[in-house]
Amino acid sequence: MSNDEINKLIDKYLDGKTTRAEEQQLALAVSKPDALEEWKAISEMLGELALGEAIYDHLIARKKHHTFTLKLSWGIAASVAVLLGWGIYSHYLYQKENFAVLYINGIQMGNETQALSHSTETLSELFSQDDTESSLYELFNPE
Amino acid sequence: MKRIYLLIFCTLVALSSWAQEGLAIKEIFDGKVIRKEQIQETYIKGELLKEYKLNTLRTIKFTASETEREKAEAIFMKDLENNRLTESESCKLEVRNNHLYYAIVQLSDTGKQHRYICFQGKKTGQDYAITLVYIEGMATLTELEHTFKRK
Repeated sequence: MSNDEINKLIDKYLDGKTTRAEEQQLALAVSKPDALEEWKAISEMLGELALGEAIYDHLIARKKHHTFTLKLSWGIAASVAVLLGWGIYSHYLYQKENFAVLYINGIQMGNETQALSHSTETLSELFSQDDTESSLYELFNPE
Repeated sequence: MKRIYLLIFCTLVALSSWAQEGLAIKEIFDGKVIRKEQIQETYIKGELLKEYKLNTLRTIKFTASETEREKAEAIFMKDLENNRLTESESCKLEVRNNHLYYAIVQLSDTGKQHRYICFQGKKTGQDYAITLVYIEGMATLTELEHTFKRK
């Protein structure tokens, strides 16, 4: 609160038109160490009870805000951890079910494209068995 | 004539066979028959095979001695004998010199997936070039032939 705002609130208090909340606000403002000298009288008028209530309410409000902030932080952290864990697990499952490897003499070599090329070439050899060659074989190797 | 006998054999096997958990050729893929250091192997699963209507493709190639070839052949035949399919067109075999030269076999389905095992044993000098393949997916045998047979 600015000094002008405090002075206006003091005027309102002296006119008896302040609400309880405004009195507590005023009590906090005028009780600060850097408060103006002329406000000390107002502080005495408000009395320790009003000041105490104001400080108490202020502390409670701060505590509630702090608790809420803490819970929110934990909630966000937990959500991030769950999402991260799910992402890692999904990636692991995907890697487990989608891969292509080529081993030559027990050593992994090449990349996925080469592994696929090697496999399809093998299948082409198998499915392209020449019927003509087989017939010729039977012709020259009768039982 | 030989092919007729083989066709009859496959039909009888298909009609009389029983279901069995797992496949014996897994031993070969796991390096328990031929050492991994002697093998060229590919293993592919998932998205890369989508265009072929497959989800699993495993191939191995190795050079085998007579003994190793017989062992691989016996393991393959064991899985072939457990074939549950009733259609005779699900099995293509060729035998040369009383040994399995080439085979493409469709096995019993697991749920909606088709399964195939393939074998090829070509003589190369004193040894044999063995190829073994395991295929799993939605593609039919006709679709596989259409996709992979060289034009």
